[in-house]
Amino acid sequence: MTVSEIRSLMLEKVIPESLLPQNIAVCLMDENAAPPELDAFTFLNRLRSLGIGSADFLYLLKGCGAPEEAVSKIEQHPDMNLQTLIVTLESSGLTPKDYTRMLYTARQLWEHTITMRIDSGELEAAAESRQEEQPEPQVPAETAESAEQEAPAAEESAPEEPAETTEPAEPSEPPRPVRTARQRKRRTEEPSEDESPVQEAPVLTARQKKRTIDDLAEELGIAAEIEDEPEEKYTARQRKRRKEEAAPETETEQPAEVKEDSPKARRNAIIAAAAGAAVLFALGPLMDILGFTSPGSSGGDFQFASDNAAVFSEIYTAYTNGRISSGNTQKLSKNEQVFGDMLISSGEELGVFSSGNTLWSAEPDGISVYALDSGTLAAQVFPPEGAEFVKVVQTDSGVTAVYSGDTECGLTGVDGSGETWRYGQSGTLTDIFCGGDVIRLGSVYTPGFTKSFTVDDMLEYLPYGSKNGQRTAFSPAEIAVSGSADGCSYAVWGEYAAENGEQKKRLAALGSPIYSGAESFTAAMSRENGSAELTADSGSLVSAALPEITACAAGNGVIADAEKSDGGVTVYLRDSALKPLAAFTTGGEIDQLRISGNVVYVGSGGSTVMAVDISDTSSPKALDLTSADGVVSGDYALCGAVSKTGITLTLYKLESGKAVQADSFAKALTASELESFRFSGANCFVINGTDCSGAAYRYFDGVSVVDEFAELGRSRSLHTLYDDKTGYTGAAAVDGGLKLLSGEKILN
Amino acid sequence: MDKREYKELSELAANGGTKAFARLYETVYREMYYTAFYTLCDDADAVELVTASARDGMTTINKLRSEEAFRAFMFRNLCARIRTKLRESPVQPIQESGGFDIRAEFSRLSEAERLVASMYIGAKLQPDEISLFTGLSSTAVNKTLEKVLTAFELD
Repeated sequence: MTVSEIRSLMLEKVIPESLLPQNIAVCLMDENAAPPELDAFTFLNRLRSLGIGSADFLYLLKGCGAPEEAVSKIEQHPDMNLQTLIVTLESSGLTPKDYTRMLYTARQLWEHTITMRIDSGELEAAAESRQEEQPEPQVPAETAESAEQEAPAAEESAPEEPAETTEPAEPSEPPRPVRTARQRKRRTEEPSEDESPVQEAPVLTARQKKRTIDDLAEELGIAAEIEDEPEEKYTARQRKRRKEEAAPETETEQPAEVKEDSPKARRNAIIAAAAGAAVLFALGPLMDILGFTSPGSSGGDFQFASDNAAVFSEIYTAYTNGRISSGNTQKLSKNEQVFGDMLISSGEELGVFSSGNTLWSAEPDGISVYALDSGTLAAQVFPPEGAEFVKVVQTDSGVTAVYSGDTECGLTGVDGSGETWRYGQSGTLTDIFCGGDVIRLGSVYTPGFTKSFTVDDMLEYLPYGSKNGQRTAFSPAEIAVSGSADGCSYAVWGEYAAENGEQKKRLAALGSPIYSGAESFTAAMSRENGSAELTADSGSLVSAALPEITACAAGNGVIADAEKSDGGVTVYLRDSALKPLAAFTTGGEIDQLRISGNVVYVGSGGSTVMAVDISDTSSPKALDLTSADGVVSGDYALCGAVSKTGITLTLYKLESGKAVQADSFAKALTASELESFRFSGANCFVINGTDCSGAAYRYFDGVSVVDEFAELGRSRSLHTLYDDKTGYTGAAAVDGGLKLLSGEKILN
Repeated sequence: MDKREYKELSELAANGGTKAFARLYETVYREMYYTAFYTLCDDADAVELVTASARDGMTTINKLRSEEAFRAFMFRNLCARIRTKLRESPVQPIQESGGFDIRAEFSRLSEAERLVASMYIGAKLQPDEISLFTGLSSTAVNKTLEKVLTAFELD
C-alpha cells in the first residue's frame, strides 16, 4: 500500500457540517453581543478598501455632521498623514454609530462608482442633461450643503435597512438611472419596470432601491468627480471598447449603408440606382424577357436566379412598390430547455470552457481567455462592432462563438493563444444550428440601399458572405427569387465548419422574410396576401403559398409555422416537402417558435408560453412543465431558487425522462439580505455531476457585499469574497477541481 | 491568498467579522480536522477541538500578521489541545469492523505517531511544518514517520 492510497482512505472521512466555514461562524458568534464598534482606524481602513478618495471622504464627513473644525482641518491639510487623521477624527466627537453610517453611505457610493465607470457615455449624456435642467452651476459650498441636507436624512435608518435610505431623498423628477448596455437591454425587455419605478411602486424592488441610492449619490455630486477621470479606471476590455468607439471612421469594413436607413432614404437611393442601371441596359424590355410580373402582382414559385439582373430587377420592382421588408423579423429565441418535467431558462452568459492549460469564459460582449498555469488573463476576443455573441461551442482547437448584429452575423473562433478568425454572412440572426463539426446560421438581411448602384455593384444589393472582413456577394445560383417582387430583403443561410469557420454552403431567398432557418435552408416569407414558405429539399427548392404566418421554426427535420386563421392561431408541423403532418392551437398570439430536439417552444411577448413534444410528429403533445432558472449540462441541471427565507441550489439528474434531485444546498438569508440577493449568472454555475457542482451569488449583508460560491459534491464548501468589486465572474470544473474567476484573474 | 487580502480579512475578523474569519479558517480547517480526528480517533472530540481552536484563532487574529502566522497559530493551538485531551482520555485501540479500518489502524499507534502520521498523511503537511507545529525536532518527526510507514507497510 502506498502513502497516497492510505491518504485517500483517510480522506474518505467526511468533514462534519458544523466545521464547514459557512457554519463555523455560528460557533464563533455570540448572538447576544453587540456588533463590534468601529473606531477611527478601522473606519479609515475600510474606507480605503472601498477605494474612497479624499473628496468623497470629505463629503461623507460633512454629510454625517462632523464638527466643522475637524472638517476644515482635514481640508486645509490634504497631505495629513494617517496618524494625524486618526487623532483628528478621534477628537472630533464622531461616534462609532457615525462611522457605521458613513461606511454604509460610502458603500453606496462605491456601488454607484462601479456602474458609472462602466458606462461613462451615458453618464456624460446625463450630466449634459442635468446642466440643461439646472442652468446655474453648483458651487462647491452648495454641494456640500446639499450633502449635509441629504445624507443624514438618507442615513437615519441606513445600516439595518439600506433600501429605506432612498425614500427621504427621493428626487422630485423621475430618477435617471445610469445603466450598462446589458442593463439597458434588460430594461427594454421589461418596459413596465422602466416606466416609472419610484412613483408606481410603494414597495421597491432591490434593483429599484439600488437605482434610487445611485440617484442619491448623484445628488451628492459624486458623479461629476468621477467624470473627470474615467479613462484610467476602465478595465482593459472597456478601454478597448472605448478606443473602438472613438475611431469609427477607421472601420473600413462597414460602408455607411445603415446610417440613413429609412424607407424614404431607401426609396431615393434605389431610384438613383435604377437610373444608373438604365444607362447600362434597357431595364423594361429585359424584365419582359426574364418573365417577371408587373409590380403589384404576386404568386409564382421560387427558383434560383439565372443572373444578377434577375435579382436586381425584382428588387427594383419591389422597391418601386414600397415593399422593402416584412418589418417583422422573428427574434432569436431564448435559451430555454426542457429537462425532464422542467423548463429551465439560463442567463445571458454563454459558458466557461477549458482544455489543457486554457480556460475560456464567454459573455455576450466578449470572450476572456485565461492561462490556467499563471491564473491570469491571456487574451480577450470581442464581437464585431454592433454585434454580440449569442452562442459558444467548444472545438478541438478552442472555442467558436456565434455573433449577431444588425447587419451581419457569423462565427469567430479563438484558440488558447487568443488567435482569431471570423467568417460571417449578411443579416440579423434568426436561427442557429450546431451539429458536430458544422454550424449553420439563418439570418434576415435588408441591404442598406443608401447610395446609387448598378447591377454590377453586387455588394450593394446582394447578400454576402465575409471572411475576416472581406465580403463576397452571393452568386445568382445561390439566390432564390419568386418573380412576385414581395420585398427587397433576403432570408440568408450559411453552413460553416465549426473548427475553422470555413463556409461550406450558402443560399438565400429574396422577398420579405420573417424567419430564416438554420438546420436546413428554410424561409418563411411575408406576402401581400398571406405568406410563402420555402425550403431546399435534397437540393431542389420546394415552396408553398400559405395564410399569414406570424412565426416559424425548423429543426429535427420538421418545420413548424404559426398561421393566422379566423379561429386564432394554429401551429402546423410540416415535413421537408412542406406537407402538413399535424397541427395544434395555442389559444393566443404567437411571435416566436423554436424547435430543439423533440420539442417545439412556442413564444409570445418574449417568453415561452408553451412547449410541445413532437417525438411523434403525427400526434404533438403539450408538456406540463415547471419553470426554473438554472443551467443544463448533459444529464444534469443545476437550478437556483429564492424563497422568502433563503436560497436553494438543487442539482437534478435526468432519470427515465424525469428530473430527480441528486444534491442540494440551502442557505438562510434575512429579508434585507434577500432584497439585494442575486445569482451571479450562468457562467458561475458549475455542473460536473455529483463530483463538483455549484453556483455563485451576491448579496449585501448589512455591512459587506458578500460574494459566495456554494460548492456541492465531494468537497462541500463555501468560497467567499467580501467587498470585492468584481466578485465571481465565472467558474468551471477543471480536472475535477473547481476554478473560480474574478475579472481578469483565476482565484484558485 | 495574498498579503493584502489576508490583512483585510484579518482586520475585518479582528473587528468581529465572523465571515471574514471563516474565509481564513477555510484555508486550514480540512487539515486541522484530519489531524485531530486521526490523532484522537473520535469524531466528537475532533469537532470540539477544531471549533475551540477556531475560537482561539478568532480572538487572537489581530496579533497574527500573516497567513503563515495564522496557520502556525491554529495548528500549534490544536496540537496543544490534542495533547491535553489525550492526557485526560487516552485513545483505546479500536476493533476493526471487518476489513481494513484506517481509524482502527491509527488507534494502535502511539500518541506521537498518530499525531505525526495524521499530519503527514491525512493533512498532507511536510515534515518541517510538522516539526514547526508540534514542537518536535525534525529528526524526531522523520524517525516517527519512518516507524509509522513501516508499521503500515507503506512504500
